[in-house]
Amino acid sequence: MLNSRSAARMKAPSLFTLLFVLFCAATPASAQKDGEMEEFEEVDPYTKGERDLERALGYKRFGFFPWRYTDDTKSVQENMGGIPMIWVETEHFLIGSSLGTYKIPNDREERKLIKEEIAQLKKKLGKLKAPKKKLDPYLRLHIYAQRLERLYAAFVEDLGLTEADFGRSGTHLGHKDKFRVLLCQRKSEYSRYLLAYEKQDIEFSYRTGWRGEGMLFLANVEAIAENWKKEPDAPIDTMFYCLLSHNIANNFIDGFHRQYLFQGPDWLVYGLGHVYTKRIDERYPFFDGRKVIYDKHDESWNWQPRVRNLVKNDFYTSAEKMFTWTDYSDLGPRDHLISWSKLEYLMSGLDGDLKQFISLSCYPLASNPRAQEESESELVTRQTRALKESFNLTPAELDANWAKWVEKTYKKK
Amino acid sequence: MTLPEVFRGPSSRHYLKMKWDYPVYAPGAGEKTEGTYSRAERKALTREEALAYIAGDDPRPLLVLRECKVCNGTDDALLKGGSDNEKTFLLSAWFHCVKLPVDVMEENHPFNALFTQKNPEHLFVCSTNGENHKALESQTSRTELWKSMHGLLGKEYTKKPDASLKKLQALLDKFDAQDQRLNELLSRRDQILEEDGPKSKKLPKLATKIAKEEDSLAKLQGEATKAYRLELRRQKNLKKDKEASSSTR
Repeated sequence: MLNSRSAARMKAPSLFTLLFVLFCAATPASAQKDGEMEEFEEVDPYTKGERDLERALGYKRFGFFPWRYTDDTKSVQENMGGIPMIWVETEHFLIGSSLGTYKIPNDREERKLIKEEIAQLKKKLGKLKAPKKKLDPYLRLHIYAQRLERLYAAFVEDLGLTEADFGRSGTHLGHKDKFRVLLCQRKSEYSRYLLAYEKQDIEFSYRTGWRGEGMLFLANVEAIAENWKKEPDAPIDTMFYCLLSHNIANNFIDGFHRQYLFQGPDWLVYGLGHVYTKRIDERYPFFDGRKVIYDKHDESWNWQPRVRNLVKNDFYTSAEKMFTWTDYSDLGPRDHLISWSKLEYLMSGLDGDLKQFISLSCYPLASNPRAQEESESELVTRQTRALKESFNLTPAELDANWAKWVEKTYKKK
Repeated sequence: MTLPEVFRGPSSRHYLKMKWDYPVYAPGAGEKTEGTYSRAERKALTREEALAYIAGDDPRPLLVLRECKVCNGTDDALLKGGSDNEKTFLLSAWFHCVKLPVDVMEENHPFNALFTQKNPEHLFVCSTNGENHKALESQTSRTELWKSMHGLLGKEYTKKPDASLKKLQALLDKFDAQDQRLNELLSRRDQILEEDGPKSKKLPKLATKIAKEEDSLAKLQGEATKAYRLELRRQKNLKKDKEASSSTR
C-alpha cells in the first residue's frame, strides 16, 4: 500500500496539467482536414509494415498488444471512444497515439527541431522525404517514439546508469512493465481513459504508477491548443513535447526505486523536469499554470538572469528547506527556478556521484523503511546523507558553492 | 460589420468553458483479475439504463453531444465562433454536459439506444429521466439553441436564469479589468523581489495594493457564485417531502 504522501502525489494533477491553463488565447496549430475527424491510414507509409524497417526504428511491436491486466490496446482504444489510434512498443515504452496531422507553424525553433528529428529518423529508415508543411499521424508517432527513447537515454547517460543498477530487470529502470504513454489529440479520448481506468477527471495531463508494475503518463493537445487560438504560429507541438518531457522526467525520479514509488523529493522531481524541458525549448518552462505568468512578449522564461538576481539579493530557499518539500504546493514560483538551478549545478560535471545522490534521495531511511508519514527531519536526514555521501557537501555548502557557480556561469540578461 | 472578438482574462475564462463529462461504460476496465478471465461482450443498454448511467449522481438536466467525424470531437456543434458563444458557455453551467464518442452509433455501443432515430440527433437536452427531450441540430440557430436551453432550464429550476445570466455577463467585463489590475501589480512585485530583493522599500506599499485588489477579485467571484446558485425543482420537492415526512412523525 502507498502512504498518504505517495497517494496524494499520484492523485494530484501533474505539474504541467496546471501549466498551460492560463496561457493566453489562440488558434491551434494542430489541425485535421477542414476540421473533420481524421482517418489514419491503415498501413504506416514510412515502414509499409516491413519488419526490418520497424526494427530499424527500434520497435518491438507495432499495432495491437497487451496493455495492462486483461486490457489490450484494442479494448483500451474502444473505451477511449473508438477513435483512430496507433500503438507501438519501443525498447522502454508502450505508446498509444491519437495525434492527428500537424501543420508546422512558422516558428523558427520548432521548424529547426523537427528538421533535426526527421533527419535522425531518415538515418534509421534509409530514406524519408522531409515534409515541409505537415506531419502526418504516423510521422508524429515516429518522432514521439524517438523523443521518448532519447529522454530515457539522456536520463541513463546523465546518471551513468547501467543494467547492473537494476539487477536482472535492467531495462525500464527495473520496473516489470515498460513506461506507458498515451498521446491524445483531444480531451475526449484522454478523459475517457482517465475515467475508465484511473477514475480521475483532470483536464490537461496525468501521471501515476503502480508498485511492482510500472508508470503511466497521458496528456492531450486540445487543452493546450485552445489557449492559443489567437496565435496561428504558436508551436503547439513543442509545448506538448515540453509537457511530455517534464512529466516523463518526473516519473523517472518518482519511479527510480520500483518498490518505493513517489518517494522522490519534490525539488528533484520538478527540478529534473525543468532541466529536460529547457534542453528542448527554453521558452516553455510553465512552472505554474494557476497564474498568468507569461504572455507573448514576456521574458520571464529566461531563468538564468532571474536566478542570478535571486542569488545577488540572497533571496532563495536554502537546500535544507527544499529537502522538506513534499507537495507541489510547497513550491512557490521562484522555488521552481531554484530547484532547476541547484540540480543543474549538481549535474554540471561536479566531482561526485549523481546516480548515488538520486538513488539515496529517493530511498526511505532504514529507520522508516516504508516511508510512512515521514517527518521533515527524516526527509532532511535522508537527503543530507545522500548529499554528503555523493558530493561530500553539507546543504549549506551546496548553497554557497551553487551561489558562486551561478554568479560565475549565468548570463546577466 | 462584425465586432472584434473580446479577449477574456483568466477569471472570465474560468466561466467561459464547457465542462464536459465523458462517461464510459466499461465494467472491469483496468481491474486486476485472478485465474481465467473472459471479457464480456459489449452490448447496448436500454435507453433508460443509458440515461441513468450518463446522468449519474448529477441532478442537473442533461445536455448531450454526440461527437461525429464532421465536428472532429470538438465543441463546433455548439459554438460558431465569436463573442456570442459566451451566452452558451454561461448557460451550459446549469446543465450536466455530456460528450459521447463517434462509435456510439454502433449497435452494440452501451449508449446506442439514445440515438436510434431515423436521423440520429447530434445534440439534445433533456431531464435526467429523459423527459422534456429536445433535439438540437448543429444547424440550429444560436437563438433557437438558447431558446431550447432556456426552455428546459425554466422547467428544471425554480427560477428562470435570465437575471443570473445578465449578472454573469456583466461580471465578465469586471473580471477582466480586475485581472489586469492585479496582474500588473503581481508582475511589478515579482520584478522588485527579483531585482531589488525582499528588503526593497517599495514592497510594503505594493503588498497593500495587491491585498486590496485580491479582495476585490474575491468579492467578484463571490457574486458569480451567488448568481449561479439556482435551485432545481427536483431538489426543492425533495426538501418539501422530507419536511412533510418529519412533521408527520
